Amino acid sequence: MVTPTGTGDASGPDAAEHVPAPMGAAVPVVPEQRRGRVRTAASALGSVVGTGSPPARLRLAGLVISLVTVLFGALLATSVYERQTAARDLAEQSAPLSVDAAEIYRSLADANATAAAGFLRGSKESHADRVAYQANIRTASRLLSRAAARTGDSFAAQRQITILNKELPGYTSLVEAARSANRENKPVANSYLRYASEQMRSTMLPAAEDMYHAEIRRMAAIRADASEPPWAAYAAGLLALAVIGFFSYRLYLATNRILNLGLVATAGMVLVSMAWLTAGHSVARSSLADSDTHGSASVQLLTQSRIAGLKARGNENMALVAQGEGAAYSREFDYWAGALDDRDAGQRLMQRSELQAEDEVGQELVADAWVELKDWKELHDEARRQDDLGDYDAALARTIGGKAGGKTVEDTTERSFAAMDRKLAAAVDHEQKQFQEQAENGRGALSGLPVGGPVLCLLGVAGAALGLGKRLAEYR
Amino acid sequence: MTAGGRGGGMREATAVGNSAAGSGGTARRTAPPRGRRRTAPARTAAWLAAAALVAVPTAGCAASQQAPTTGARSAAQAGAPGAPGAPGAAGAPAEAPRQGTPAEEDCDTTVSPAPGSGSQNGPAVTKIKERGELIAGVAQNSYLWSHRNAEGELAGFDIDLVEQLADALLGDPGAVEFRTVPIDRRQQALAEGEVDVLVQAMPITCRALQGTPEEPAVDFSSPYFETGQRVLVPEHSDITGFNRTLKGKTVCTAYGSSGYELLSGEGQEKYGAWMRGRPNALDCLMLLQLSRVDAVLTDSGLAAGMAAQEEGTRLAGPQVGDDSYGVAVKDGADDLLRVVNATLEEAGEGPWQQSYDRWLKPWLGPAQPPSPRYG
Repeated sequence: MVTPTGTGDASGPDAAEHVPAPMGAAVPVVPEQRRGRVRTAASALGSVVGTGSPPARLRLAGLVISLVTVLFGALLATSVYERQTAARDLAEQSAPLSVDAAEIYRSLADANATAAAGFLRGSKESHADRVAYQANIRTASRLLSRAAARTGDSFAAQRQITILNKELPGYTSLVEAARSANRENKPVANSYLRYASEQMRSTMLPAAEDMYHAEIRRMAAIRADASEPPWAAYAAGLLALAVIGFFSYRLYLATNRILNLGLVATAGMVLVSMAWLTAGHSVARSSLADSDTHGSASVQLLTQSRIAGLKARGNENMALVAQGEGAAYSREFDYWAGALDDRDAGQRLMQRSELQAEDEVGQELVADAWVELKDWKELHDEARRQDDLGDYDAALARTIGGKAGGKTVEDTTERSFAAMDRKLAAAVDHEQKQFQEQAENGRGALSGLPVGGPVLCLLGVAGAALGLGKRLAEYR
Repeated sequence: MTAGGRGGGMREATAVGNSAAGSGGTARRTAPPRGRRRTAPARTAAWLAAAALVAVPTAGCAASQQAPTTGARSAAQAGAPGAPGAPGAAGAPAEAPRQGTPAEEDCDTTVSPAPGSGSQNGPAVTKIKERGELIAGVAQNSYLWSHRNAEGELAGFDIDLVEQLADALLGDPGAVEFRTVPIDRRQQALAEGEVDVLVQAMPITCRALQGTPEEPAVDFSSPYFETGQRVLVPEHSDITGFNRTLKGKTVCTAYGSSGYELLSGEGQEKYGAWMRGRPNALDCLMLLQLSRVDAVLTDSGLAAGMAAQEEGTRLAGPQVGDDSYGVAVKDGADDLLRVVNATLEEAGEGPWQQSYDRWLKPWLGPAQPPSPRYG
């Protein structure tokens, strides 16, 4: 027990290296100076095991105690600093990046839906359709360039960004070609829009989704870094306590005094630092966990719900664009609408979002969105019945508004969808704020520790010096 | 029969601008020869299918493994005709089997009853007269045939014919309700009485006459339009028709059409053309406009519509093969067929020509109404 502690920490590598030297054949070659050092080291070792002179032993004890205490202080400061940095990265870099990635994904799905809506309105295409479509494209391309600059080291994200940057101009030019052919009332316009939509759904949306998931994974990794227990600091603290205990015991054997106040103070400082570290870390850890379960996870679920809604909307519109060949789009609508809310199968996104919501405000927003979704599905079924019976005009009016049979249709799927999307967007905002708050709390819990901990350790070192110095003075 | 059958597949593409998925051509059409294949479709199909298999699981959000993505859909469509072994990917379960079902035997497609062969006032005609309105299933994106004009009204060669039918049945060309029934349930709509007639440049095929597990059988009138495959090329192309000038050129055609069969056989093996298949013949026009293909092979009716949509294209060379379009009615509605056939005979004396000259002559040149064929 005793010996290894002494050799390892007190005399360090020097002792280990040189002690065997006198015993070897090389003794005559060892120069004077070096011999002296060997002797010092040997006596130091001797002092620990109880052979050196008492003052030397005391000095050595002071040195070792100072070293382990400083080591503890340093490890405490660095591990806390690392966790703080990770928590800051989480709140200030990774979280915004994942928000951006989600927004790229969302705005592309939205562009697909709004392009189809504008197309369906044809010559009556409203200014609003146009603006909505262009805003989505602009948002996507602006966020893509920002993400390209920011994601830097993330290879997965960079690759998806490259794909999206390459595909986006092709997509927009196909949509433009579809618009102009549509204005000239040529059926080939439908082919252009279907082709554009196909590219969007087979290449671009999957890339955006991959990018989003890469950012989410990165966020999870950073969160894990930030909440990992500072084992090294704990180990150093325990070591310091053990060393202090050991020397106190030796001192007790030598002087018969039970407690050395200086050493007690050192141990106290180490204990206080460890308690502070433990408390700070567990608070930080739990608020990071909160930011995950209540903020991050619900933001992700709501984002998924919103995008599922947009995909369903895009397919609903494209089924009408396909004019009589929309069966595949209709099936896809069913899939995404089912992902949002399906009693028997599907992902039950609405239900899960509601359960995951942080507070009543969030739950209410999701519940409202859910009601709109049900309306939407009912209206959609009606529109599809009309289309199947060959009443395209009625189906069109039910979907994007307009007149059918001389009457203006008010209850459109567009209105229900837009209401649902607005509610979900508000819910995302709400949960995003919760996430930010929790992540901030996590950072606050550790503040002061990187400075306070080392200061306490230095005070501890001073205590040890005073306490041992008093004993040392007795030899003068 | 051969002619009829051939029309079937291609027509899909044509009239309704449709996918292979639609009501389908005969077996011969749909399952191309397995011989040497110079072109990409099979490989493309295989790649698409593979890509879809990879993409589908990765694509979904957390749990969306089964998402029927477009990738999966096109792969399935590509897979059906091109690679019979390709797995029917998740997206298009309905399409694939329909394509692959072979029509075992040829049949006689000239079975339409002559106008004078029986009653012209049976239950089908009575129903229409009592209603006072003819319900016609038509396409809405078949340029020159049945297409919404700038005012949103349907117009074209097929629409003119529907109006003549309404005139013959009810004495009023305007007594029509047009229904744009989705292509994959148009035969069902006819069988269930949702529509009285289908006038959508529909080819007379054994498949439609005999029905399939998915689609009930229908009856056809005597042909009202004779067609065949044509090559559509850009104005300054050096392709002169379906011949050796296609060597090394990429030609687009719709899956499952007669053009597809022609191209994958003779076109590739004799003339050295490369082929590119799309679910829909109109997609081929788009690819031609985007300069991704050198020519489009499709039937003359649809080719005329394409040439009309795109200035700077022309039809090259003579027509290859014979198909014909007929008016479809519910299976067994012979009384209605007699009225339709009588109307067609009557139309052959003038109205047909007027309508043809108005819509199709600028693109297809002069033509005569087809002579009646009764069984």
